[in-house]
Amino acid sequence: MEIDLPRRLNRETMYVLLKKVINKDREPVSNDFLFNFSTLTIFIEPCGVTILSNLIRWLENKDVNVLILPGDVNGAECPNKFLDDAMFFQYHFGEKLNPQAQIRSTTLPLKQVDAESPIPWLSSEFTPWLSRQLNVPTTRLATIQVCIEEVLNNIRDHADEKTGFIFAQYIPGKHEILVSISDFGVGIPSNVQKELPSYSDKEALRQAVERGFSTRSTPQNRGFGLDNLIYNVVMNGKGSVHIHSLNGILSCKKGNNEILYKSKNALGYYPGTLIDLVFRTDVEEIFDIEEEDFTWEDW
Amino acid sequence: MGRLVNIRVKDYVDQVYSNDDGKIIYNELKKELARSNKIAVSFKEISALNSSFVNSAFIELLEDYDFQFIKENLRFVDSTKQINNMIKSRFSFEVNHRKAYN
Repeated sequence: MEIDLPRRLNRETMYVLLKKVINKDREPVSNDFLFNFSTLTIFIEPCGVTILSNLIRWLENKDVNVLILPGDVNGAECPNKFLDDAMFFQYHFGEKLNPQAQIRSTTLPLKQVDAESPIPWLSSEFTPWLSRQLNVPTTRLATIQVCIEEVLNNIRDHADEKTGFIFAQYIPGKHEILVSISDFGVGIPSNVQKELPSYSDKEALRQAVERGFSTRSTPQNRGFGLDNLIYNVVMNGKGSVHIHSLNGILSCKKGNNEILYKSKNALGYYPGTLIDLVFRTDVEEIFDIEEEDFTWEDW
Repeated sequence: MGRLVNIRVKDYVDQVYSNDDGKIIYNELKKELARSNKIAVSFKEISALNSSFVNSAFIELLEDYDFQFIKENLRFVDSTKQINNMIKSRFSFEVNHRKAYN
């Protein structure tokens, strides 16, 4: 079965692609797929890299035969060249489209992260990469690393699948770091709906980020991880968080002095959880102050 | 009569990531508190903490002791602003939440 990729691959257009490949029972619609990358001509966002990666890995785990028809890699703006430089084809198919492809300084190579133990990778690759991009010591990037840890702990504690793909890009001209982390696990709403069965997916997503709400999937979970993530990215960093899971979407942005949450029904189905983070690099509050004395006195 | 004990987190765990890492610290704290010792928890070589670790290492103590006892017997040294904010905001929420429901 031949599948043309969308011309633009992002959070919105992914639903069309996923619907062509996955049926309502969360099974592949065919045992053979030929993904036509030549139709991906305009752009691909970081989330597109992780979505495609999860999709291919998921199909392979189901013993589905996956082939690709590569697209144009001539020209720095080509999405296929972007994927090639991100080591996407190297990772999934064992070789680059163009042997000269190399990792761009503004992107991290595609990574499948084990949520059980991501710290070695975060400490030795992710945070040092960020440090080089921003010319900021790693000790001042601890909050950003903690944000990624909160996402991965969420996968670790709640998803049936303990790995997720992560991809990050620095866009100097916009002063933004984009980080996309996605998995093909059970999805956040399905965990919430065990406690609140009447909630729709979008309502469940909104509930999941409410401070103190926990499904107690482990006794120590206290419903603070996603709240902490969003507070740090949005309130401290003036960035944004977008969560797509099952049929729901939750967007979190900064209002005047509060977080604006907007939940809505998706135009399709994402079989797991996709979290897109935008960190602003021109906002000082996201960078840590290295030392501070602790006191209970100002309690 | 107790004494002041220094617990350097990095001496007990290689990473401060998961509930399991936090539980190791929690068990050490419980052990010292049971001996009537006061504790200084050192975050030397640690820049930040996530909520899972803080929940398991420190917030779990509220199941065993009241907050006043924790404040009198536990302090944190070699800390950062992020660590301080995380610990305080977690205790603040939990203590107020418990008050509201007790």
